[in-house]
Amino acid sequence: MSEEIPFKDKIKSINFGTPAKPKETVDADGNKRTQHILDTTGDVNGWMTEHASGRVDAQIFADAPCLNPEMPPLQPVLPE
Amino acid sequence: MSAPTVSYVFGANIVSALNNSIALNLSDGTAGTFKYTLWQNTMTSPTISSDTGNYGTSPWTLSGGSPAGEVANSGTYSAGGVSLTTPTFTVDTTGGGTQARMLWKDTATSFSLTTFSGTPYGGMARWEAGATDYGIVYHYWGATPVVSGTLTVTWNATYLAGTLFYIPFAA
Repeated sequence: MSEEIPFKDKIKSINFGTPAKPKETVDADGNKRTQHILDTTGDVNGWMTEHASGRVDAQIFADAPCLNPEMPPLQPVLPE
Repeated sequence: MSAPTVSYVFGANIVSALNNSIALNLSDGTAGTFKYTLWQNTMTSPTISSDTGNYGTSPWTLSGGSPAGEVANSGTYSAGGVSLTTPTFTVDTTGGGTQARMLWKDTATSFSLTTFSGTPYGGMARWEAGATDYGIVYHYWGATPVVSGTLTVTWNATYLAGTLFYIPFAA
């Protein structure tokens, strides 16, 4: 016989998170900059710039791993 | 086959260096001895616990290798990688108290490749000293940007700009 889970605990189990959508900006010259979502956690490691000419630039902001793999890497720092 | 999907330090080389079985100099000031190479997702997945990052040897195969590993020459990117400037260890005490860590950081905070076309999946810093070659740190970028222009890679700036990996003094 299973034990009834209190409603308040059920609420805690609901994941309200939604995948982040790429944020796009377009400058006066028609260049589109897209924040490039680089992994499933929604972390943004960089962005792409799609120029009107067809040129595509990428800027990567690297993380920094730890020698101890049980410690998290330093997360990418994107400028404002 | 796939490039590593985590960032990691080549611990096998650090162990060998601490055991004095390899002469790994992570503060080698000789210009051009530290290189940052770009890798495609077509390479064979390495065994991280024993990976030494030996450039040109499986799984770190060249662009014309089987499977293709390194990103092919394009624009200002040439096989072997981009030279780092002067990486060395620096102690950072941000946070005070027990909060201290060792950062392996370059004096440059980024590099750029121009007129570059490619699909790099991650980058690996290595030390190239004569015939010997040791991987130091691999950065997983999380996806494959399809670049046809300029690729800029900026090192981590959580504590000090230019950081490629870190070792905390206390957890």
